[in-house]
Amino acid sequence: MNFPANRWLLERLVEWQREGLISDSSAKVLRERYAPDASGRDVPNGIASMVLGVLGALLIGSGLIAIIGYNWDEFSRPVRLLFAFAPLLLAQAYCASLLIRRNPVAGWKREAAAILQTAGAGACIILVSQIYHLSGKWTDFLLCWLLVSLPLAWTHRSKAVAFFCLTATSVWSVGRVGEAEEWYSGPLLYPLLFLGIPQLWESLRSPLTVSLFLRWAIASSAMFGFGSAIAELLKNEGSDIRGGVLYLSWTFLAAGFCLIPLRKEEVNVPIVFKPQVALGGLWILVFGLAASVRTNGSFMVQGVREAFSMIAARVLFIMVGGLALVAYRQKRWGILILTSVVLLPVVAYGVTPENARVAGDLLPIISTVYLGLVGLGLILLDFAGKPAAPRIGAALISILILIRMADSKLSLLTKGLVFIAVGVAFLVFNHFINRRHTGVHKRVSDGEGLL
Amino acid sequence: MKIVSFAVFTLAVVVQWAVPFSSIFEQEKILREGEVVRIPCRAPDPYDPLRGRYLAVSPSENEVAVENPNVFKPKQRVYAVLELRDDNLQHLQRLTPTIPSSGECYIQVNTAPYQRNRDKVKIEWPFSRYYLNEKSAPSADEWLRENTRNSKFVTAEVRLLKGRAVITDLSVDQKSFRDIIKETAR
Repeated sequence: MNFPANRWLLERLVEWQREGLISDSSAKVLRERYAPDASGRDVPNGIASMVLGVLGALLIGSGLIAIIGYNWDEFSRPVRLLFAFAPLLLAQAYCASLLIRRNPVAGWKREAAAILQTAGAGACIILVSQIYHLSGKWTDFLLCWLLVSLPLAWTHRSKAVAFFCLTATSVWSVGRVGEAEEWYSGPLLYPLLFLGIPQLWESLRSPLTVSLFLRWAIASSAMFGFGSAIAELLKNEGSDIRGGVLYLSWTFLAAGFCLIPLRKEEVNVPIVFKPQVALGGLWILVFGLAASVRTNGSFMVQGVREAFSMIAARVLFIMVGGLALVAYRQKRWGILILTSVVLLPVVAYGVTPENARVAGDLLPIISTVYLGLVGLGLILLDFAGKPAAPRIGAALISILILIRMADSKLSLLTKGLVFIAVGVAFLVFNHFINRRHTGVHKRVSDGEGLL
Repeated sequence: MKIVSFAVFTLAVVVQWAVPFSSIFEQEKILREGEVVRIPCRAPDPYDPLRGRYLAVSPSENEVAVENPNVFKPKQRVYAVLELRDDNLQHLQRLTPTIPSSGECYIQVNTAPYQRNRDKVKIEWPFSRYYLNEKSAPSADEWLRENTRNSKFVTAEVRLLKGRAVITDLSVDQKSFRDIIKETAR
């Protein structure tokens, strides 16, 4: 078990000992069993040395690219090509030397070597394209760079290169929406590139062994990458991707992320260890709040109407429905309530499918009532002693009140007073919840166990 | 496991050399064997944060009149046949979806993603950048702005081989832009 899972367990052990749930001897055994992993092929080293190693390699790599960017046109072409290949050759030799060593290699050395080689490969491609005045889009260059660097994430198990590839693939996908001539030259390639990240497979096998940083990187990349792929699919079906259908599909995608089945040991970990839920949930809440704004109603309902006629959107809805069934069997009630927000425009459309204008007027009302009830529910569950998220609930209600105020035709004076009242009430509530939790010796973060 | 890692690493190293080398090989062949053509163009000065300073070379002709525009789809790879006119420069003559007959001077281009005219097809040229030294780029840009307002125009010198193109120099009033930059920078 590595750092994030370790930290979580060690924190819980202190609490469990204090609450008398486990004996001191059991806690000692658990501490020893789940001590930082020193049995691997690597020499264990601190985060600080790892960060410094990566930073050093990054600085050298960036310096290399900047020097090349200067364009040394006083040198002949062969000399400049030598400049391009020499750093790459040195970095490759260093990487190879680490790979053939019999003794374990320090993590920071692996990371630094892999980053150096990645930067060397990028600099080499840049310099060649500069020398020969090659044109071409930056997205083509980025794809080429990430493809030649990706194997280093496997061979040197480099988290920094994996992070680079995750970022580059999602940036490339976003940049290629609507630009692709073939499916493999646009965002539809993203799922394949995503599967090439070794840490993704590691997280599927044993989720808590992947570092928190990479879990967030994987989730963020997937959100942008799959979002771009959906936009491309809808565009291929002739949709105007500026319309409501894209936002609705993205929200279903976010719901899909939230509903990804969790292992037993993952269900009760704090939400910070479940970035797919945090990011997906945040998008759904923003979508729900946007649906409660009067001017957005008809736009979103029209999105539903268009979505039902598109194969890509229908397949997505069916997939999310399947994931919801799994979540239902896992009794993840909190997440089911949260993701049900995506159905609000569908419900409004279903009430009067033949009259989009009425459905559009109905959506803000349904959304306000539903989100208000969700907020209230999140608070009341806490008072009932169940897993809850009272602060998120209070924040949701406060934002709803603020949106209603912005929507209304009340005077600025009235709006100002309401804003102040809501702000004060929110602070008082937060203070009250903190005291209440301290009183019952309950130190759980918002949403823990519920989402 | 170590053997697999080493095999993957070796493959990565080979690809990291093969990608730039394939470009170098192709460009060198065009530079060595290609025919020299000169095309009128414009060249403002943008900046690429990764690849440094360059002049965005934009040939002044980018539309070709066609009899049947439906033959050409957006983003399609086509061939533009060039003809030498009295000004001693190559101009667009016609567009064809197949490789023109031998003896004709042609360049491989793409049709633009969006077309405005019904009787004309807009094309995208295969060269668009001329990289410059960072130090001399601002003065070169200033010189270009001041000297290309009236009758003077920029000419792109391009090597062509079987439709593939490599830009070799820009010139103003038949004077190499590389020489002008050196003089301006002094």
